[in-house]
Amino acid sequence: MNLSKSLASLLLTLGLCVSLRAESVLRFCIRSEPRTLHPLLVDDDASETIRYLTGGVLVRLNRKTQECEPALASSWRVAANGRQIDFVLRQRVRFSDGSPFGPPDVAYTIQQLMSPELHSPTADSFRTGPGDVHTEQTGPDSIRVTFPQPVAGLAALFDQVPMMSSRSPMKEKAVLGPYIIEDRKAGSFILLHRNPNYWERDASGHQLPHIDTIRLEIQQSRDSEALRMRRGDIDFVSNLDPDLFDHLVAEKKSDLTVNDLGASLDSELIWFNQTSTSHLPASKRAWFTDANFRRAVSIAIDRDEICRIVYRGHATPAAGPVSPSNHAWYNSHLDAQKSSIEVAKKLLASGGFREADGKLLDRSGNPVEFSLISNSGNRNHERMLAIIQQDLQKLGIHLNVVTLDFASLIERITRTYDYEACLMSLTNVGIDPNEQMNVWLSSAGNHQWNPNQKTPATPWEARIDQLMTQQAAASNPAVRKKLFDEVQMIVQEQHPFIYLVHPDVLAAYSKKVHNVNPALLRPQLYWNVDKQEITE
Amino acid sequence: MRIQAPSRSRLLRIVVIRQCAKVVLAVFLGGIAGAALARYSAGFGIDEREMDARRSSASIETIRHSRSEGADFAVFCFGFLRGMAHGELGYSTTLNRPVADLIRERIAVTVAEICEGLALAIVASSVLAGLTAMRISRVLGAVSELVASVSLCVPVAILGYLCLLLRVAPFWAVAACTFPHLFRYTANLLDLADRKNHVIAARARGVSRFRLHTMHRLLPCVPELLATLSLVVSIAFGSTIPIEFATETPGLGQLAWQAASSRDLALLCVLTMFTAALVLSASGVAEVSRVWYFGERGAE
Repeated sequence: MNLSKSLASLLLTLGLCVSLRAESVLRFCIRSEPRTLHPLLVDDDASETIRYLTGGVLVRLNRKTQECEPALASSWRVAANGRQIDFVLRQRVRFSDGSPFGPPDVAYTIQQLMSPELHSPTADSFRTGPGDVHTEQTGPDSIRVTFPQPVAGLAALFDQVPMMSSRSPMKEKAVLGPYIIEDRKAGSFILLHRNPNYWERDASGHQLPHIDTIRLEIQQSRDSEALRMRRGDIDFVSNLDPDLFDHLVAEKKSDLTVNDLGASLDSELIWFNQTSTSHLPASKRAWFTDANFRRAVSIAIDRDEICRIVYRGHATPAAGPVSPSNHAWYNSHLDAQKSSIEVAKKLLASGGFREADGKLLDRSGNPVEFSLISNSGNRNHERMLAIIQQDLQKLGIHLNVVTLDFASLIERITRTYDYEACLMSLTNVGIDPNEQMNVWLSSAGNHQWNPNQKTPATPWEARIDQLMTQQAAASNPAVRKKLFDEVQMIVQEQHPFIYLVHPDVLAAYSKKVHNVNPALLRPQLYWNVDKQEITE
Repeated sequence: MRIQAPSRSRLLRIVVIRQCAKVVLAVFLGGIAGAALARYSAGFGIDEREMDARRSSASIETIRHSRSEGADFAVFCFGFLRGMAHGELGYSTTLNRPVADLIRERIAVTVAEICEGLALAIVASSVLAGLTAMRISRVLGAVSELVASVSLCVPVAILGYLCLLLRVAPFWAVAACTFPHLFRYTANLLDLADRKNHVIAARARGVSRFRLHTMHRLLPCVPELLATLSLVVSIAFGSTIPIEFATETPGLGQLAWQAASSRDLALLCVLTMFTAALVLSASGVAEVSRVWYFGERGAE
């Protein structure tokens, strides 16, 4: 009798414990409402976050090692010089609604992705030439995807392609990722709940993810986000402003880990308008198309000072388009420009510029003066503009600083070309140079200094076109690296973009979240979310 | 011969029709004007996704095409009005959703914020203006005046940030924005009423202080107070834009901010119309209730 009573009370206690176990909730902010929840139409950061947390992919790029790892595909093999990839899929994998996953779903996803009617931005990376993409089921759990032209870095591109169900009535709402969307309130939050059918298990055989719920707060302001972090309302902040970062460090909060992860993949850069269709005076166009002038401006700018004053030491002077954090593609032979007014003056003198009454005059006696536009409301840019203005003053160049709202700025640099020079941030999501094809090709719209050229305006742009095309078609990583190294060399010689700094990734996270393994690649803090745990 | 004054019900009918016509006209003109301002502002039709280096030229062209709605302003206006006639409010190109859905999801938040804020401001201003007018405490009068002045001087966005810092609901900021207007106007009206002959006579007859205040001072001021209320509704709605932006409240104010910064023509057009309708309806309701309450005298 006593035994049965004890057993009953034990069971009751256990039951109570189970029912009282609080749901673990991870909280962090996204900047805006996601524009779309369709995984193949993602083209903004908020939608990208949802896609990362809910989508299951064949291959996952490990953000820490920057290497591809098996996900829904247990193995893969790239063949035919990068035109073909064979996947072997995991068995007994189910979508969140219970429908099975197999080769037909991969074929369906590829077909949807490459459909011209869908206009998927993700598909752009796979389109290297005309022709159709073919899929062929090669076994009960294997599938072959064949592209019309070689695709460089093919396997890593599948990190961006969440698989969709060909059979589920829920269409793209049936997912294979660790979380599913449970609830959302417009402009306020999005609630994700763990996917009961998620395929991955931890070493001890427990189904992942460990965290039950993720609450994504929609928060535009970085200051408000930092305030919430201080109060413990959220668990992650991955892109802190240097000022706020130093405040958090100084506060020495016991429940927070604050980390400077090192140089990000992003760059701050300046370029001069070299567009032939712009209404620039001939004298100014002559300065801007003169490589010596661009080089002199680059050498005059004190990058160390920008790192020290603007970023409070949380930035790295930039040597070129690739950040030193991009281990695979960084050209280690390049060094960041050291500021030297003397060298800059010599360069200008060799180009026929001279100084008179503290003003720099060109060969025709025109005083050298130009305006530099940037986006308003960006504190770092405003401070950087002041430093650049001061540095160029030492050469006798009068710099007018103009800040515009982002839409007006983009209108000027992409449509009207009504500007002289521009300071902007370049955000790099991926590490592969193929993701920058539309920056480097002279015919591309994002070739900012002189876009949409019918034929390359200069021999060095023609050479960059050639190198970029060759590296995109090459399958050997060493060959690709060599070709892209030369691109970086040309960019440093010609300075079409004057790279200034790579800001550091400044992150803070709550100590109650375990297994956080911060990385430099996005998403820096939650890339291994399925393995993270929360203890209150 | 004697000219007969119109009856109260006829007068009321005239005022209602006049107010409705005013609202319809203002909504129409406001919508067109708002859309014109957005259409011809710098940065119209621009999408920051165009700057994504991963996109191909064809993909950028698709984005440009999707943002080209309104490039021909006359065509846009015609299409928009035709859609409205069929109950469609257009599509937000930046938020990628029907405008009607966006408004529906957020209207309750803003309306509640305005109602709570205004209720708080009305109660606070009436009580404080009344106590000041009754000359119960000089210190109270001075403090009320100081609070009103400070609230008037502080930028609305700062009030929003204060709410965020103090972890209080945004309606407190709405109340702080509208309180000075209500307080000052009510206090002035009561002060003026205090010098009127009927109040002096009532005081001489020994009418109690409370009765003197409510029946002889406050009641005759109701038409003017109603007119002020219609004014503060528009102030309250205007203030929700920076407040909701600062406090990250998912209401119409935040939506208006986003629409303006991204030049979202359809969304801006609808929000302008909505604001015009709200402000003029508030003033119309005040006008109609004044006529209903005071008849011919109220209409003057």
